[in-house]
Amino acid sequence: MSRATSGREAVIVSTARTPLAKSWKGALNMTHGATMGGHVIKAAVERAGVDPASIDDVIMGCGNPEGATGLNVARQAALRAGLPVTVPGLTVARFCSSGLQAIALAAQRVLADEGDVYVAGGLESISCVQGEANRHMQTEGWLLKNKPSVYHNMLQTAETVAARYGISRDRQDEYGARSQQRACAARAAGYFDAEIVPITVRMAGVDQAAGGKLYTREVTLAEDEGLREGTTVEAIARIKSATPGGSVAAGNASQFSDGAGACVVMSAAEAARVGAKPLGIFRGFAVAGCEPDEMGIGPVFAVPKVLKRAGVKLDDVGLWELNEAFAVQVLYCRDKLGLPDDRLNIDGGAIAIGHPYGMSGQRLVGHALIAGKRLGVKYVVTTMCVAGGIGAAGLFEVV
Amino acid sequence: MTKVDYSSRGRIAVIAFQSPPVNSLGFALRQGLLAALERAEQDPAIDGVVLTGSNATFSAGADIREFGSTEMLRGPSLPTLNSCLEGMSKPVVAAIEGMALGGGLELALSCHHRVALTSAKVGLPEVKLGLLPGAGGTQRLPRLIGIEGAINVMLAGEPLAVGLFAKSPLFDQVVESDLLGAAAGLAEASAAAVKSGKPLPRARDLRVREPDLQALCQFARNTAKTAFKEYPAPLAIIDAVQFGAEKSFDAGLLEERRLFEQLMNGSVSKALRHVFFAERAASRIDGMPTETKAREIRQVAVIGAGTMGTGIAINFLNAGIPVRLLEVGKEALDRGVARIREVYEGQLKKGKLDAAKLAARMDLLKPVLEYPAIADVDLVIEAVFEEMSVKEKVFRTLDTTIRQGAILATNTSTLDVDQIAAFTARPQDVIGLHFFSPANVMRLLEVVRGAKTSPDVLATAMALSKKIKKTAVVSGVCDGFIGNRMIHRYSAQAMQMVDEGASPEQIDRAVEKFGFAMGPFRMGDLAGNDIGWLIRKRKYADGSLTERQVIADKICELGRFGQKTGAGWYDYKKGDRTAYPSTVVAGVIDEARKAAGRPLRKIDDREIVDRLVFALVNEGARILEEKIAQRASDIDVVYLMGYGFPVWRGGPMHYAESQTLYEVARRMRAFAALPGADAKFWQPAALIEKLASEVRSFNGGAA
Repeated sequence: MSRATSGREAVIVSTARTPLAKSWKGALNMTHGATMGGHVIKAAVERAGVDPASIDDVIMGCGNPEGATGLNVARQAALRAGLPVTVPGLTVARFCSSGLQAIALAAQRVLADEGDVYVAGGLESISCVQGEANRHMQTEGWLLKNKPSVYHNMLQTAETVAARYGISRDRQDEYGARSQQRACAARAAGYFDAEIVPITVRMAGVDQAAGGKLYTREVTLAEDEGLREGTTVEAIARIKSATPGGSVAAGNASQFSDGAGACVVMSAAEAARVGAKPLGIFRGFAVAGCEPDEMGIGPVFAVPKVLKRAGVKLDDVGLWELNEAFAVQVLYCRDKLGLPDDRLNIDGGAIAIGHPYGMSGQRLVGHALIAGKRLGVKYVVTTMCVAGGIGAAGLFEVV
Repeated sequence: MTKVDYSSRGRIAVIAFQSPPVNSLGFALRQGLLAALERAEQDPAIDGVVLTGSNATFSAGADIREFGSTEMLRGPSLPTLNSCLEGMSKPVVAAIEGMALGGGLELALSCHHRVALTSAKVGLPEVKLGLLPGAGGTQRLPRLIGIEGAINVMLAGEPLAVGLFAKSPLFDQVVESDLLGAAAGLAEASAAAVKSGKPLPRARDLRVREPDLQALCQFARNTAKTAFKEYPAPLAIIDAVQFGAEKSFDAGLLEERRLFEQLMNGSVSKALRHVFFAERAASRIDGMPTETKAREIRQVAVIGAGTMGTGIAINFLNAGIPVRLLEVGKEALDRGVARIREVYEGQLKKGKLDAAKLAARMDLLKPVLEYPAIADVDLVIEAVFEEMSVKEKVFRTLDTTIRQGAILATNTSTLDVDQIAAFTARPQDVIGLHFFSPANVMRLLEVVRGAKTSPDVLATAMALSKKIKKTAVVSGVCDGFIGNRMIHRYSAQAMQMVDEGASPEQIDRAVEKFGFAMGPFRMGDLAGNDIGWLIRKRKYADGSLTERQVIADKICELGRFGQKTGAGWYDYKKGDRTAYPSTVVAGVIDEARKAAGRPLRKIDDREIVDRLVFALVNEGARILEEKIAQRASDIDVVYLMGYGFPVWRGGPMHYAESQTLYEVARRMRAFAALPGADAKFWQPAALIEKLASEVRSFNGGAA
């Protein structure tokens, strides 16, 4: 491995994330990106036990870095976390892989010997950004004519995958229900406790009993809001499809959610020097493009690429975190890649827990390392599909 | 100056509004108030002012009759008055009893201090007329009670107990009694503070304290978008509040004014104001002798314990009027009583009724099996089977058993009330009371005035409708009265468009998008397609209907009566009211079209809506010509209350006016020229042509 020759290794020494809140109705519906970002950065740094002044950069992924998550929100979040002004900030955007991209970027900079200590993660406020997005000149004329699929919405691409590869509503629902069941079991077993850092915020709501009265109140968000105990296939099979005649429905697609998460990424040597305990070692990252109209299948191309480069065989990977944007694309990727069901998204995924686009990569990395340790596996892969027709995959070695 | 009373209490001037009944802030009152304020300001013997109401109320707000007229903004306008109040060098205290609503509350917000009786209520109901508080309310209220509270007050539009705001700067004091004493005391204390160099407290000088202003306003906006869909006022209120909070008080006032004018000139507020007046106008009966006295109704009898009879009975029980429910069979009577109890138990479960009230209402109900048992009642309402021979039997019996002077009413929806009256020797006491199903829920009541119905019987029916919380509209006698006569035209157009090439789903979708609660086919499935089929079969038999409705008849022949049989124009699944397009119905339609051999065409949504709505309008205009309805706005009330016409469009006649009658007539002539059209029907009513040529509207104004 080329990295070994350089003598440097990048290790992840801490992870911290907010619980994920339902967008618009959930606890984070009035929370600014810098507030939630600052909260998790502070927690990740504290957990790592590193000197804040030693941090070389704060890299935060964000799917839609504008408005409440705009103005280089990573820099704002760093300041909000109480880090000294000498610590800079960088926001990266690759839609749903932004969080993973941020961690990869941090690791690569360690390997490039540019620095020793990075904070990397992601944040997303769908509540406060998606409905307010700047749509001025959002599409380009030539693309609209020649490659309109790059502008397809995600739901459309999921239906395309369902139709093109013949994946029925029944199979999607079955997978969706299982995601809920697995997530609920994992929560009951306390498997999310080590990654979560509760956050106290002010939220707004509507009191229907009082005739639709608006209210605000302070809440402490300590658990993911999207989990539904007792979910059955029968129950979610009754949910109306999102498009008439379609197969994708609320029970088999990821939930809109808000949240933030951060890791501290260090050089192994510096970690050893300051006594920070690694959770895992970065072993590689790859992205690959595919047709935009079936963006959900991106992992099929990114996974072999990252494994080949790292010289790791698919069978050597003991745990897979494949982001559940839609059940339909998880099913396709699982079957196409030949991933074992009992090693794939074992604690549920975005269908149950939620999917704040640019944050999810961080959650998947943090959770894979913690869960991998629990299972005693060596390699874990986190992978996801990305809007526009991209797959991203990261390979980590559990410590 | 007669609208304001000026007196002094020591060194405090007391200015009392004198504009009964509710001290609405019309031009004369505003002018008087400004003069009184100037007098107080200049009088060296006066240190402060108390503003107070009269007749146990402060002020119910702007004079809505001025809305849209030049009087509304005639100086001094309410905004001018408010800025004068705020700029007084002597403290002004608003002393609030009863109601301070709308402009009345905005006036109080502009005073330096406010004192209220605990029993008083405050509110900003402008939103209900599609407006925002346009005299500083969107700026002063948030500064006094916060963004969240102010948005809630303005979006609800309801009068609220002052106790809710007792701890906010909205009120300096809330007192149990001696309001004037407290207000005068406060004015004196405030005057002393001014003399010692303290500035007068003004709402405009307060800072808005809201750390999450943008997030909160956007949340409120997102919520309002779903809760109020077609109504622009809630969003405008939130916009005005946020604007003023972000920029400045004065910038906020300008924005409030801009948005107010935009709303005032917008179609929704125009429609809502029309509806407001239409509902009030509906209770007026033209040509009623002034000495007419309504009869007293202490005892009511309802004949027929079916769905309609029991629904009607519930209205009276709710109003505390004893009801004797008559049914000739014991079993049917028991079922009727059980049905009434069921309705109340449903309300009990939902917490809308307590057990004591339930018992009290059931106590008012007396089930009886024979006519002599109702001989002494004041009003009988017949709700038996819709057939003339059945009605005849009932009314002949009533005529011989019920005491003289009682009112004999029929709930018929289709039969000739004059013919029914003629079965008795007292046609002057006979009237139609057409309730809509479910009668205990629907607010509309068509009061059908027979040729011989006496004025006091009509007056009694109108007074009674208020007591049982119905909106009554007077209709003359004709087939279907106002509502159903028009709906027949609407349904016929819907059926014809199916013949021409539109699907029931497309028609329903188009008219639901326009705002109707339900399209004609979904409505048919809900009400039961068999009802119309029975009527058609009777008319085919007696020759009054010659053209067969092939598709509709076939649907019924297949037993597809609607939701109750699990299939109608649509398919239904068990326990699911969703209408699913039916392949069976599509087949029936296809077959009928083929048999008719008529070329099909694509009908766009706009044509669907126009043909349905203008069919109502043309028939409505004929109803006006024939003086079946007293006024166009009555027709609108019928459609808004009884047929699910979108309120924000103001009713069919108002909607037609908003499109200009010229345009409506033009469209009608175009429909008349369509292949296979009922050209005679689409000939615009003479009234429409006349008004269009005179550039006038149904409701009198220019259009």
